[in-house]
Amino acid sequence: MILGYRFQKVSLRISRSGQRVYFNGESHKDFSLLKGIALSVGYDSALFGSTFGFRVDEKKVLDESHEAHLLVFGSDVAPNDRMLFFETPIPIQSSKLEGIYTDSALQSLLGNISYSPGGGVIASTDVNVKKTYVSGKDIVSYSNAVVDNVPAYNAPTSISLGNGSMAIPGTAASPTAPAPVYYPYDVKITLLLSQK
Amino acid sequence: MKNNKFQRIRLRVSAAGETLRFNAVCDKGFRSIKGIFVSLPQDKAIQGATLGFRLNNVEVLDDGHEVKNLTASNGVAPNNKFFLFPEKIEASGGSIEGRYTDGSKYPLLVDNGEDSGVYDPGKVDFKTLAGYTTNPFGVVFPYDVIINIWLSNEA
Repeated sequence: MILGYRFQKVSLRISRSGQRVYFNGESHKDFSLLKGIALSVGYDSALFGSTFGFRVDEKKVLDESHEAHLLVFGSDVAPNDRMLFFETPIPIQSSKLEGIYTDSALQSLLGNISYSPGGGVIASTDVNVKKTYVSGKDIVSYSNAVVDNVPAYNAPTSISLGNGSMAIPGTAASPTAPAPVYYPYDVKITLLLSQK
Repeated sequence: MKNNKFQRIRLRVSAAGETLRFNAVCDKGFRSIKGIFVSLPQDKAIQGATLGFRLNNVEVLDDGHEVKNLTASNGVAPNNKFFLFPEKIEASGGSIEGRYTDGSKYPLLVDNGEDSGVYDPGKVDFKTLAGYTTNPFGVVFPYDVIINIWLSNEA
């Protein structure tokens, strides 16, 4: 006897920065609907800019540039809300499930604070485009683009006024380095399958 | 007779990566299991921890189910904290067999190239782990895990 639902899981190991990991599998034969999907990533700092694409029976559900952080949740979300629930559950029948996860470091190479695929300047020495080659297409095909319009960072300054002084606080984006990502880390994908 | 009861199982986790197996019997005065909530004293212990259990030999949650999905912070309203099962699970006096695994094995096993199994402290030299000089999650042992099971008589 089995229950009418099942959480099917896939674990991926990201071993180095910028890695793309592809997986495929089959949905459990006893379940006919895919109702939801969620991601769990070991380090929050690994999330920014990471992407996750997903297909069922070769039909695209999430495209390859879907941001991974749209599929995760924090502990301040009620446990029953911690998934992306599909508005219309996806019919499955021992279906082929495919996914591709791209680590965020590929984005940091683009030097792109806002994560706009059109932004950032890539030094040819920094990016080995062959490493990002997948499905017969270049993921990063641009090599010289304009940096996003990021507000300039002004350091705090202090002005002397006779006996007194006035401090002007710093403004806009701080050039602080992003939190480090430790490799390897694991990404866990949870799929909610149902019988009806 | 009340309609709801919160039954608790308390486990003591003594070492990083420890796996604890437990057995319990549901209160026979209640017909179904409505939800579950896992309470941990340290946020850092949540990452990577897993909890699976079977009820009367039927798998309710598999052994790799993340505790992260079964707990909530104080920012969540009390009535939403439990994970409610998608369907009614018949319990009345059923026997529970469960398995809790501490998450600290997760980075350790990654670095040791092991995918599963129980972490053997003798096999790991923290000093040789890339990027870590100690348990990276800073979990303090021992700690207690309280598994709250919500039993109900509601239809």
